[in-house]
Amino acid sequence: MKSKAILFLLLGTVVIGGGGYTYIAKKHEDDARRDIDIALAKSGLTPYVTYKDVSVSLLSQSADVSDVRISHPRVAPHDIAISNLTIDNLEYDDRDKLIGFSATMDEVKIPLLKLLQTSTREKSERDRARFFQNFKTIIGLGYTDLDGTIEISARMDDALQDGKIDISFDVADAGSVGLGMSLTQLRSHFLLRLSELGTSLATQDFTFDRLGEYLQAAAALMDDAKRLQLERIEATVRDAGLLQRLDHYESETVIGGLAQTEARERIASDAHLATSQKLQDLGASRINAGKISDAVEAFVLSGNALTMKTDIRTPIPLFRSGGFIGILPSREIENMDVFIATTAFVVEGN
Amino acid sequence: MIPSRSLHYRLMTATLLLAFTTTSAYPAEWKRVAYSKSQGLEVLAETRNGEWCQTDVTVKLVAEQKAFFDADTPQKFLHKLGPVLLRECPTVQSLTLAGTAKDDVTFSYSARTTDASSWALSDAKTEIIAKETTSPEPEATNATNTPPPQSVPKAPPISLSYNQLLFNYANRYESAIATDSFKANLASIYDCKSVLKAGRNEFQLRELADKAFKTFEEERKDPPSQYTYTIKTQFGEYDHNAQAFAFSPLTGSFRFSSGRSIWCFSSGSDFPDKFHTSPTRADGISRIDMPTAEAKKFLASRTKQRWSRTEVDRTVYLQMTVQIKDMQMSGYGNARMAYEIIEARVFTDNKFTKQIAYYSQEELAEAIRVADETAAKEAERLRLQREHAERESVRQRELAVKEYERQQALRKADSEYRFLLKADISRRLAYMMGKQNRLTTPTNSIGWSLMWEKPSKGTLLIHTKTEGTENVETHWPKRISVNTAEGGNALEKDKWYLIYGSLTPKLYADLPTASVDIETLISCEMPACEEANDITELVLKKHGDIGWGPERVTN
Repeated sequence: MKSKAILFLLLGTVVIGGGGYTYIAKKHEDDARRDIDIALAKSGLTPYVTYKDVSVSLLSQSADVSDVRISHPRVAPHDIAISNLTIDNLEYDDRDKLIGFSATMDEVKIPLLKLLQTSTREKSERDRARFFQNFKTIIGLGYTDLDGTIEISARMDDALQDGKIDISFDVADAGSVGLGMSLTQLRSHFLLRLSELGTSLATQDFTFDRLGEYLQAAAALMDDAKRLQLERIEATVRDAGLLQRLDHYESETVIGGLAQTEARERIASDAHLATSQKLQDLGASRINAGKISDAVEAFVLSGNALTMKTDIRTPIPLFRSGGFIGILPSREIENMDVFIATTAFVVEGN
Repeated sequence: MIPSRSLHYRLMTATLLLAFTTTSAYPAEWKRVAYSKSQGLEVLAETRNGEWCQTDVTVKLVAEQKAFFDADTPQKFLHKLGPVLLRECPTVQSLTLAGTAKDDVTFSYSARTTDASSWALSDAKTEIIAKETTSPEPEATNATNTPPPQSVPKAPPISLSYNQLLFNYANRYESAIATDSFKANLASIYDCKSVLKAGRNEFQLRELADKAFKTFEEERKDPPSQYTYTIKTQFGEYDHNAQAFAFSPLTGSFRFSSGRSIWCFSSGSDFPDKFHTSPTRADGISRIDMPTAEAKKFLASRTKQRWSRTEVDRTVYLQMTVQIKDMQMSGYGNARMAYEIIEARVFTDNKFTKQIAYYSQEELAEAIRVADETAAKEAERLRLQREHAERESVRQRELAVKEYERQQALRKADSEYRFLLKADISRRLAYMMGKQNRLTTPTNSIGWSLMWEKPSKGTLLIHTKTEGTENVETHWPKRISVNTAEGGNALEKDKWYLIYGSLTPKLYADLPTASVDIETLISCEMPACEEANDITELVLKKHGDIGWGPERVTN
C-alpha cells in the first residue's frame, strides 16, 4: 500500500511536474513566437520571412524555429529555405538585454539557378548575358542548388564594447568556409543602426525622398564604424567535392582530356598564379605573396584544408575617416604587407 | 493654180493621151482579161514585165458602141468586173480605167476598192491629167511636159503638184478643211489680188473665202492612186566594177509649196502651205546601170568645154510613178508626205525623150527585199557583235570581280594564317570547323544552357566510345552523348570527330550531362584531330585554289 502510495505520489508529481513544465514551455513558446513576430514586424521583414513553428526547450535553453522561408520579390523571388533554425546559448546582461546567441541553420537550401534566372529577368539580354558569364561554370558543375548548414555565433561583453562572431558555411558537395572575428570598441547601437539601415535598404525600394534619411543613418554608422577595432580573425576552407569537380572541368579545357592529377596540378598552378598576382596587387611583397600562394597551391593539391590565422597583440582599427565624407579602410587593412606584419597573418595549406 | 487652168484644156490633154495609148501600145502590152459579147465589150489589162496582176491595174474598156459609156453603164459594169478581177488577181486595190469605142476615145476613170466586193468609180474628170500650175521648189520639177510617146508606154498618172497634194490632204482630213482658216487660206491662194483688195472687210473676205472653197470643192475629186513625180537631179561617178553610175537622187529634201505671194500669206498653222516629200523606201534607186563602153560614150556626149575648163553635165531627170502613203501636218504650215515608188525612169532631158534607166516595180520590190535582207543580216550581225561584246564585257567584269575576290581572299588567308600561327589548338580546331573563337567547354556550355533555359550551339571535339547515330557515348569529353543529323552517317567507334551542334543539358544529382545534336561534322584522321596543327593545310582547305601560300606571310 505504501509502495502504491509512493507510486501514486510519484505519478502525481510527474503529472503535475510534466504538466507544469508543459505549461511553462508552452508559455515560453508563445512568448518566443510573439518576440519573433514583433522583431520581424519592427524590421519590416514580416512579408518576406515566414516560419512554421517554434518550440522551446527549457532544459537546453534553446528555441527551434522550423521551416523558415525567406523570399523577396526583387532580391530573392524563390524561397531560401531553412529546414530548422536553432537559437541557443542565449545570454542576457543585467538589464535583460540580449548580449549573446548561437544560431544553427540546418538544411539551408539556396536555389542558386532559379535565383539567377528570376533576379535577372528584367535586365536586357546583353546585361543578362554578362551577368550569367560569371556563373556559367558554377552552374555547369552542378551547383544549381546550394545545400548546406550555416552556423552563427555572436557574443558581446557585458560592457557592450567587445564582440565576437563566428560564422561557418558548409555546402554539400563543395566544401566549407569558417570565419571567426573578434571586434572591440563596438557600441551597442552600432549593430542596431547597421541592422536598421540594412533592413531599410533591403525591404524598401530606394527613393530620393528618403536619401537624406539614408545618409544620416550612414553617417552615424560611419562614425561608429571608425572606432571598430579588429582583435582576431581566422578562417578555414575545407574541400568536400569542389576540387574534384574542378578537376573535371579542367580536363575538359584541354584537348583530348587530362588525367585527374594533371588537371589538379593545373588548377593548383593557376590558383598559385592568381593568388600571387592578386596579393601583389593588394600590396603584398613577392615573398609574402609567394608564401600564401604556396599554401593555396598545397591546399588545392591535397584537397584537405586551408587555414588562415592571426595573432593580433594590439587591436587594429578597421576604418579611418568617417562622418559624412565617407569611410576608408585603415592603413593596416589597406596594405597587405602591413596587415601581414601587424596581425601576424599566416596561411597554411595541407 | 487650178482655177487658172481651164477644164477644157485638161480634157483635151487626157483625150490625146488615151487615144495614143489605146492605138499604139496595147497590141504588145495589153492582155485581154474579160470579154462580153452581149455588151460588145472587151476588157484589156496592162501588163508590166509580162504580168498584169498588180496592186494597181490599168484596164482598158474597148466597147463596140460609144453608148456604152453613157450614163451609169460603166459603174454597173464595174460591179460585175470588180469581183471577176479580184478572183483573178486578189492583190488588186485600185483600177485605172480607160474607155474607148471602136474608133473614138471617150473617158478615163479610176476606181478603188476598200474590200473585195465594193468598187467605186470616180468621176472621169478628176482623172484628167492636169498641167501643173504651181512653180515647183528648186529641188523638184513638175512634169510640165508630157513625155513623148516613144518613152512613155502608157498614159502616166497625174503629175504630183501642190494642188494634188492639197486635194489629197483634204480627202484625208475632211474635218480640217471645213474651217474658216482653211477657207481663208484657199482664198489667198486662189485670188490673191481680190483678197488684198478686200483688205480688212470681213464680209468681202468671207465671200472670197466661201467662193474659193466652193471652187476647191468642185475641183477636189477622189485623187488618183498614183502620180508622176519628177525630180531634177545629178548622177555620180562611174563605178567600173559595178558598171554603174552612182545615183542617189532621193537623199535630199523635196517640197511643194502653194507659191502664193507673201502679201497674201494667211496666218494659221493648221493649213499645209508646204508639203515635204520623202519616199518610204528608196532602196532600188541607187545607181544607173550602164556598160562601160556605153557609159564612156554617154559621159563624152555630156562633156562640154567651157573656156579652159572641161565640164560634165551630170544633170538628169528622175520621173517616178508614186503612190501617196502618208500625209500629216508636222509643224507651222508644214506637212509631210511619204510616198511609195511604183516605178521610175531616168531621162537625160526635161523633155523626157532619152531614157537611160528604168526601175520597174518588181526591181524596186526586189531591191527593197534585198535591202531588207541585207539590213536584217546587218542587224543580225550587229546583234551578234553586240551580244559577243556584252558577253565579253560580262566575262571581263566577272574576271575582274573574281580577281578582286581572290585578292580579298588572299588578304583574308594571310590574316587567318597569322592568327593561326599564334593560336592554340582549341582555336585551330574551331577554325578547322569554320567557326570563330575556341572549342566549347561542356561545363560552360551546360551552365549557359541551364541559365538561359535553351540549348546552346557549340563546337566540340569528341572521341567516340560507342558507334551509331543516336546516344553515341564518348571517351572524351566524359559527360556528353551525341546524335547524328537526320540521314547522317553513323559515327564509328574509337574515332575522333570535330562536331558542331546544339547542346541540351540534363540535370542529375551529381554533374549535369548533355546530349549534342550534330549539325556538321568533320571526321579526323589523327588522334585529337591533331591535323589542325597543320595550319597551312587548314588555310588552303578553307580558301581553295586561290594561289595562296604561307610564303606570302613568312617572307
